Amino acid sequence: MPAEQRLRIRYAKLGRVRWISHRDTARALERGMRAAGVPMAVSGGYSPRARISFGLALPTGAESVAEYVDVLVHPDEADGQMRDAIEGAGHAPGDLLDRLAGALPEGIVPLHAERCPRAASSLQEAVQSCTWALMIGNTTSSGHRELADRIASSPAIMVNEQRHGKASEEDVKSRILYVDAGPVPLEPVVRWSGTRGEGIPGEVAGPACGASPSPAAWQVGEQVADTVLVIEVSVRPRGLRLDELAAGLGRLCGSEVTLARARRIHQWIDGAQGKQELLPLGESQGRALERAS
Amino acid sequence: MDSTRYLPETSRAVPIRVSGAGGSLWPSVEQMLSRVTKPARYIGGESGAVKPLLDPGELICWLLVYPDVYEIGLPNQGLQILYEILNERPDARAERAYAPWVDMEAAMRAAGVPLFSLESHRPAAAFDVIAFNLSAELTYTNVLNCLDLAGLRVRSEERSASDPLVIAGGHAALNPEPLAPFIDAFAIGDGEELAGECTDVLSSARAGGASREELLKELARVPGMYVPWCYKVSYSNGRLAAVEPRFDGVPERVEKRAVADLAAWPYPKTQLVPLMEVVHDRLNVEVFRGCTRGCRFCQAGMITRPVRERPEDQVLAMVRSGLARTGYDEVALTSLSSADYSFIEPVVDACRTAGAGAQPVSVSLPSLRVDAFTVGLAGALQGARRTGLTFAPEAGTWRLRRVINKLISDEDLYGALESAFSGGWRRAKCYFLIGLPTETDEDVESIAALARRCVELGREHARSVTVTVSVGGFVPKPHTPFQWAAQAGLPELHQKIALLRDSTRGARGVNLRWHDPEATLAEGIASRGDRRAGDAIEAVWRAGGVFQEWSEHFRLERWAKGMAAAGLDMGEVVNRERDRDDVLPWDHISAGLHKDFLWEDWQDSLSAGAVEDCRWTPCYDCGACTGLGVEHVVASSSPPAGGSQGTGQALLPPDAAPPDVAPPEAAVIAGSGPVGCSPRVDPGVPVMLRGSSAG
Repeated sequence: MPAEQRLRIRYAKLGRVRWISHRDTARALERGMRAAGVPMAVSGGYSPRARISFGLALPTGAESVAEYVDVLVHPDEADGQMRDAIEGAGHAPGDLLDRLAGALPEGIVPLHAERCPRAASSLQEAVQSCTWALMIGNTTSSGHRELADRIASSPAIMVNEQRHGKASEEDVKSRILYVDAGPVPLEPVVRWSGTRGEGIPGEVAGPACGASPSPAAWQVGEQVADTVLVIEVSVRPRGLRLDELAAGLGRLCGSEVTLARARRIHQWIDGAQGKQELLPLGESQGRALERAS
Repeated sequence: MDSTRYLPETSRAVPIRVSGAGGSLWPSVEQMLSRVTKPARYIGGESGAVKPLLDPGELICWLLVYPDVYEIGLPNQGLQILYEILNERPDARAERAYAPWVDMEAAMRAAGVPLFSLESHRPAAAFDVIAFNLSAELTYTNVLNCLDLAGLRVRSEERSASDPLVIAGGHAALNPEPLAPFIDAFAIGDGEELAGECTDVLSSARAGGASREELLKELARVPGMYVPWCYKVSYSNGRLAAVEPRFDGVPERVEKRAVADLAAWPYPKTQLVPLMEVVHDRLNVEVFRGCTRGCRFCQAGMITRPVRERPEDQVLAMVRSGLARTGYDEVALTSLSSADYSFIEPVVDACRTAGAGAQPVSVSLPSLRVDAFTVGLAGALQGARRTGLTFAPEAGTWRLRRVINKLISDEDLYGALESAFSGGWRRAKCYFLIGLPTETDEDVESIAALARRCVELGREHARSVTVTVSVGGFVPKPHTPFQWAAQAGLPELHQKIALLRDSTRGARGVNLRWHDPEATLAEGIASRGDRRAGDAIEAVWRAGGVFQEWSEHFRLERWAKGMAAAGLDMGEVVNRERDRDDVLPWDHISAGLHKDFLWEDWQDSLSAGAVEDCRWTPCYDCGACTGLGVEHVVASSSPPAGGSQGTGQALLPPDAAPPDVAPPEAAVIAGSGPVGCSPRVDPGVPVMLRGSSAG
């Protein structure tokens, strides 16, 4: 067993913590790993840093059930339980996810952990596209269905760009790989025991955020929708930012389009069997996403 | 107070009207977040925060407010200590709020959303008490703005029994008068016991159906509480004549509170871990409170006496549990001069390996003395990190450093810099004050000479070194020996800065930075004014002056107009040297120090007479221990290695030592000797206020 191992962790970012930046999320994860006793490897040099690397940035304000972080660990330096959890990662997440969940801020929810080869390509290199669930401002369920049809049938989606200081136009239709309207996405139901930090009573079981597990509809202010836009965008050659996408949809519709709520639900890579999700969640591994009955 | 003094409400045009009492404002707040900078300021959810509670029932609910932006306010230890103490009580509940940044304020006013707590997102006006932390005088206009944003009248006399009680405490509360028109009650000194005692008074008042006036009188009877409404202020020939109690049972002089034993208060136990980057973003453990080095400009040192150390084992327990809980990899051992802590070396050693993982814990001492010993300690404790070291010699010449009782010789500074550069550091920062009593052009020019010499020392170790010289204008603060001193005027400060710019021009490796003298002037008003200065502060706020310690929001013009509108003369309030007979605006507040002691020390300073640190040498009878019935709690009977103020007596010429104090027997350690304080390791804090602080 090599001394250093690489762990890949999938996590969700839901609820109020969506308002913290990508950088703040990274810092919270690093602190959380340390507090949970994850034996992170440390770089050498004048300024030792934990060897942890993060995937695609999530815009501040957006939620996700498909965020990823890679961390190099030294299982030999962990306590017995944690060592077992790391060795078992990929099969039985058990203690690792539980301990992380208890050490992370409310709303940052570890969903799955797996050992991966040291030589695997980095998250930034591996991911080819990602899928979003978007609730458009002032739009009903049927409005989302109409918009999805309109995007699918439109020959071009034009966005204004600022590249190298010059304004230009670009058709981003080819970077939209899939579009449809669908039910609001599922959320993880969090079940862990113990406390969230010393002396602070922790939730024993419950939704990752919000008032109830995976609501059947999204509500923002007065607006309610049980059907939202589901759209997959390529991140190659570069990512299509959510605000660019909204601007493009605004031009398509001839009126301003705002995003009332945005959640990343998948990140996709080119795998051995073609396109596949990074660390898919299922019955046998990770935490399933559930809809409350 | 004469209501005709009010200026029209111009800039604050959208009044906040709070309807209904309690519910969460989160849905409305969240709608604004995509349009403001750093939305994480407004979401709460920190580890260590209490869970939202929308229906607190009969609990006495406190809203603890730091009147500056979240990333400055969150780390405040005083606020966090009270937060925990109150939340541990079965009959109380504390939540927090910070001043919303200007973009958020505009959005809140546009949407009619009042100031809210970060835990439950309940409106401020739904709380029983709104309590402000006053750490810095230039935040005073933010206090008014927060009250207004809460939907309350800013003047105490215009609020009613149904409004929350408005309390303020913190270092700046030691001259409460400039905020007296707005605050119902001030807590003077340590708040650990006062928070509970005030909760008791509020509980009884609620149970007994007491009127607002009865409640205020009852609060005024709590030792350490100052209720401005209970005092009559009189003036004579335009000057303050007296501040006297209006009622029986109200003390003539309010004595500050001081907890006798820090070991009884191991707070914070669950330090808040912010979700966004803030200043001092690390585990902070207070190792002692108070300082007796006797720097005459330093209000913090004077008003927090005596020295009370936390036991070594308790410090270590707090470090270990704090690191394990928070996941931080850095701990700061905080105090006004942490290298003076009796157990500093063993504690630093133990901290290095106190973390959960293999990663070493870096330890920082926010206030270091200027000596080689301390630099050695810094090298050990920061591990490999060599980001920069900060020193505070405060004045350019040995003569002037004796005047301010900051007993660092030039050789001490050079020794410290030599140790730093040979130890691998490439950048150093030195803090200086300008406008100090008796200061001459030679003193100011010597700052530049010191800096050049320091760079030369560094060049012997590395090709490229920088020494940043940061100068701040001196504000003579209440309850210090310099409280009678004249604050340097605006032209004088500008001239001194020009002199420094000339004398550092072309000096390779020397960076000069200075604080805006205009802000120093405004700080003088807020620090040194009497109750009438409140009118000026209100006028500044009404003219749109918030976040005054942020240079992009500061304009002296507002203060000049405000002073004029209040009928006050800037020179009289700020730049006039006070006489021994003058009634000072804070004379009815006691920090435990005898006024005679301060006066004698002021006179001694003018003849450059230095005094030693009474922790390890005979008592000067300053009054702090005897008056408060609290004694020094210092484990070590001798000063730490490297000497201490006054114990390196060779550095004190015979004529500088007070004649009645026998020289102590401690040996002089070559190359180290007496000391100062204070690397300030706080890159993000606006530092206009540092004139008051020893760091």
